Amino acid sequence: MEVVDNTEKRNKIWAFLTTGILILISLLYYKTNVYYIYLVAYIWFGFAYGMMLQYGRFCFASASRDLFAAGVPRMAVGILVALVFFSLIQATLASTNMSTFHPAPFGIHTLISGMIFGVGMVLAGGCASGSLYKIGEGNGTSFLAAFFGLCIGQAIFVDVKWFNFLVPQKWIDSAIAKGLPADKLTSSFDTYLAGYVWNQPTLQLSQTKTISEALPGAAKYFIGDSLLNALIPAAVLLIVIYAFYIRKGFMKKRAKAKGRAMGFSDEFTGIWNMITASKRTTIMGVIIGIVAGLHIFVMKGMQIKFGVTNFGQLLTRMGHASDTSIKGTVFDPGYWYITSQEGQFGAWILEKFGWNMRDNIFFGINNGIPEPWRNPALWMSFGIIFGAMVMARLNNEFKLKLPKGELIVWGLLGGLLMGIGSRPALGCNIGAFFIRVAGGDPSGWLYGIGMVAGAFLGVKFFNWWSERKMAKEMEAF
Amino acid sequence: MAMKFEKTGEGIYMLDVCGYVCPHPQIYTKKSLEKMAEGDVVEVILDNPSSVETITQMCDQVGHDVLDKKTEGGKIYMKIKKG
Amino acid sequence: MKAPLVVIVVIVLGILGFLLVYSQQHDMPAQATQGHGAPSGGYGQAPAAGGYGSAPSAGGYGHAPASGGYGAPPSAGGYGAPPTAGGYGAPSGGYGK
Repeated sequence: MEVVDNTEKRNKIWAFLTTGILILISLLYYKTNVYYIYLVAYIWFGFAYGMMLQYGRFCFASASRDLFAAGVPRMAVGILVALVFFSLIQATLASTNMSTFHPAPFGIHTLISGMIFGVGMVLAGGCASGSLYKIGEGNGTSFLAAFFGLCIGQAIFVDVKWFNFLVPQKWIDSAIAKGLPADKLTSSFDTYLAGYVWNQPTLQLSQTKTISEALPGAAKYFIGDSLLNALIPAAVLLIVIYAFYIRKGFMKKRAKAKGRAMGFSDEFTGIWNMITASKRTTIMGVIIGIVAGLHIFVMKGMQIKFGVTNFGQLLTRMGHASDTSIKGTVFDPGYWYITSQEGQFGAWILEKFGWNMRDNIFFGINNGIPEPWRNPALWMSFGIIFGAMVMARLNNEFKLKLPKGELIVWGLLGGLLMGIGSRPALGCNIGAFFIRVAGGDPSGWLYGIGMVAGAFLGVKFFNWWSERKMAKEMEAF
Repeated sequence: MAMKFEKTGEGIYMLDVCGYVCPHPQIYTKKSLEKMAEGDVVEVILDNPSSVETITQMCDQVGHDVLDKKTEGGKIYMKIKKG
Repeated sequence: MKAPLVVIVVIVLGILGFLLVYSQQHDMPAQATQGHGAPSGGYGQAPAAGGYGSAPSAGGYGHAPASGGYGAPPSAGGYGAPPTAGGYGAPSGGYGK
């Protein structure tokens, strides 16, 4: 018993130490220059996300698997609940002009890249955010996925010409016609971005002609973006999940217990039961939705306060223009977003090895490569790791788990697929699905469909694989 | 290799999936339970907290009993009786 | 919930609360207004609507950004614009004489 008590004590100390050091770092930043408070905001929202993801046991990677194979809707419900709350806040912010949301160009690429990402997150055992928070739990496999896949893999992907055989002449012509500086238009991904993606339409329901004319003022955000794009689809999905996976079992149990015919009100009880079956996940879903909304509010407030639209402008004012792209910008989403900042970190490392990472659109023109300690979005990622670490420590769930055997392969391969799958659609399960769906951009659902399909394929593969391994183990007895 | 599934006694099994992340632990747990006879017990040892939540709910829905669940040294031990 | 968890949750809520209030006070802090040259011209300025992934609704790729920005010749010096005085290829002085 003594041993257990000691670990508990040590865990507590570590939790407070980690939090304390982050507070100290925040104060140091503030002391250096008041502008850094912008970056500090990212740290602490990241920290909060990390705590909530860990506590709620969020696992996008297993959302569809749990549902299809085990009939457990826990994650699907958690995500949909978060979506509902986030979209309501998002609509409130949009109607008061406090939103940082932008819809994304969409097309078939959104679906394909969702699929690649979906396979990747199942292999790696966690989505982009999931891998970060699992690093906080001490998980080595997730570290491999995040570091080699999301950081290094992604940075290389946007900088190489290896995929030029996939690029049609049409894209090349269109990219050149944009008049970008030739030394920034070098990689396959550059041609794809400038020659294809930028030509695709964007859609945000509140901004469509029909809706903005029919609904004046704030109503267009609440009805167009939130109700039509997020609330109704989420409700329909919840009902479908209930009908397919839960209803039969629940009704059977309930009819037996009540000894009467089942009516309409029992259906509602069933749905409610499904939603509250995993309280941790559902409650965290609600809070994550609200916090993600507040994050937007805070970032927008900071931008107004300092009179900027991008942290790159503040970096330039502080004399760090070399951190920014030629537009003077750095990656600064203004909300919860993963993957691009990991790519920047990877690029920063590769630059140390003499690789020119600024001769492309992604880093050279758009996102820049800030020093990691001046990279606001990267600090959000670190925040997630540390937040999850503190929470795991407090629950005595922290343990260093070195990756071994097949897990090394899955981690690397999955991370790489995630890194690649997050680029063509300009985001991951958070940036391309969660945020967009809540913001009134239907292309988020397209990415989501791709992700579920990809996850399904990944799970099919693992089912086959684990069946094989189980059979081997069973030979022994 | 990493994952272990053993018969430790009459109707008693042990599944060790430490180090594994989502979705492996729940896949292996589900598969183990499928291989066992009704009334058999398996002790699952894992260290991925998010899988525990899923396994618990899965057992609840299918009708397996989670007899015991404890955390020790960052590892989670779950005793599940097939129902 | 255990006590240490409550303490840390309260700390985090406190910090987020502070950031929330701080971010909505829109009078510029003293340090921010003094000293720093206004970011006029040059390629240090971001186009109006910016980030990667956002639709090029205003400014954005391929269009010349409203002010400054890359693509448009910066008012003073900066990327892609020929230096106003001196430098390589300038008509007066230097090479050939």
